[in-house]
Amino acid sequence: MADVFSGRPNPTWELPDAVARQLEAACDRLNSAHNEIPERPALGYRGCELKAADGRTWKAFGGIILIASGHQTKTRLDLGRTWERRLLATAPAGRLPPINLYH
Amino acid sequence: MTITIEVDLFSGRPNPVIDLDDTASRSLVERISPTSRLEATRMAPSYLGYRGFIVSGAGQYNDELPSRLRLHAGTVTGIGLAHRIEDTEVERSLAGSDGPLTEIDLDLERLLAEIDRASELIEWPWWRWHPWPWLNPCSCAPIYEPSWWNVPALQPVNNCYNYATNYRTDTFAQPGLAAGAQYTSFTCDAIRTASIADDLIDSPGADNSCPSLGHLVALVIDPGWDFHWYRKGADGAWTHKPGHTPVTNVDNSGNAIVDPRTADRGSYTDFCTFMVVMHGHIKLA
Repeated sequence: MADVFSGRPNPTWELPDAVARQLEAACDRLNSAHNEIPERPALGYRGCELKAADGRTWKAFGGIILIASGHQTKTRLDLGRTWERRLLATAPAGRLPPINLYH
Repeated sequence: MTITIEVDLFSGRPNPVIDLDDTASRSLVERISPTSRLEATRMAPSYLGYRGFIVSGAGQYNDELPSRLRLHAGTVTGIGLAHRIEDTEVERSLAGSDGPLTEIDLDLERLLAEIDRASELIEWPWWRWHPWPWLNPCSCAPIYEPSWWNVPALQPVNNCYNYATNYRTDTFAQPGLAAGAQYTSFTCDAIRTASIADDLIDSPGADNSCPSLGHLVALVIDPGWDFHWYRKGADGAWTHKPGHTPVTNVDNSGNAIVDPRTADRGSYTDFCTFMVVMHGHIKLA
């Protein structure tokens, strides 16, 4: 899911299990972070989220990934927003508006 | 040849007035000698409480002073006069235990406290910025109550359209859906037409002015991708709720929104129109 719209529902799409597992493994290899997710703009792209069937979530924005599992949360440092880009790249063509991750 | 001082303090009853003797008059004129000129014209304060000392007769002692001037917050103002003064303690001296105001029945402790706050009030320029009438300019509009919307039961399931119309559906309301005429593209025309089907009233000439009945909303679009709404509140300020995120009163640059046409709207580049919401007339889904 990309958190990007205001009036219409946010775009969501399903990932093949293999792709989701690759993303999860890639996230596990990232260094821990102690930062909060940076402040997001009111209008426009506010981050993206991967949600597993068991309820675990990975929320990425601005170089930080917040992983939630039950009541536990941890953060990873996503240098260059590589993981965030990789998740957005799995969206079907035409599903997302232009998103600029360089500012 | 003496000076009269009026303490500009009260609203309903007449201000207290005292006459200074010649010695006190000369001393006062010396203490309020103008120094540097103020950078901007200063209007007479129009709030409740201490607003300065109105000094009459100073021109008899000093040709450079007008016959009537206001001494307030370390400045003197009058015809041809808008200056700081050298002795910024003079107001406190007038109200002090050795000053001339001890002759009249006045709460001097309270007056001294207000004198100390005078500069702060001058620096807080609400009374200069807001044209009359600035209080409650949109009496029919909803109040800004983010704490009502920003709760887990409401925030994720109500969007900008719900918030702008002040109509909670808990369905992420879509323009035209309730009337069976939902938009089919993300253009100004399409969203405006769908909203009219929900009984919003198109008011392109509203020009940021509140209607006499109902309240004003504004439609903008991210062309081809999404729409967004703002609402003008009872205090005249604009607020909005971007998607499932919390209600806010600032734009993408963090500035208060005085006019959605000029606010930082990110990718919602096209301002479409103002519309009016008549309370109880609209239906959303």
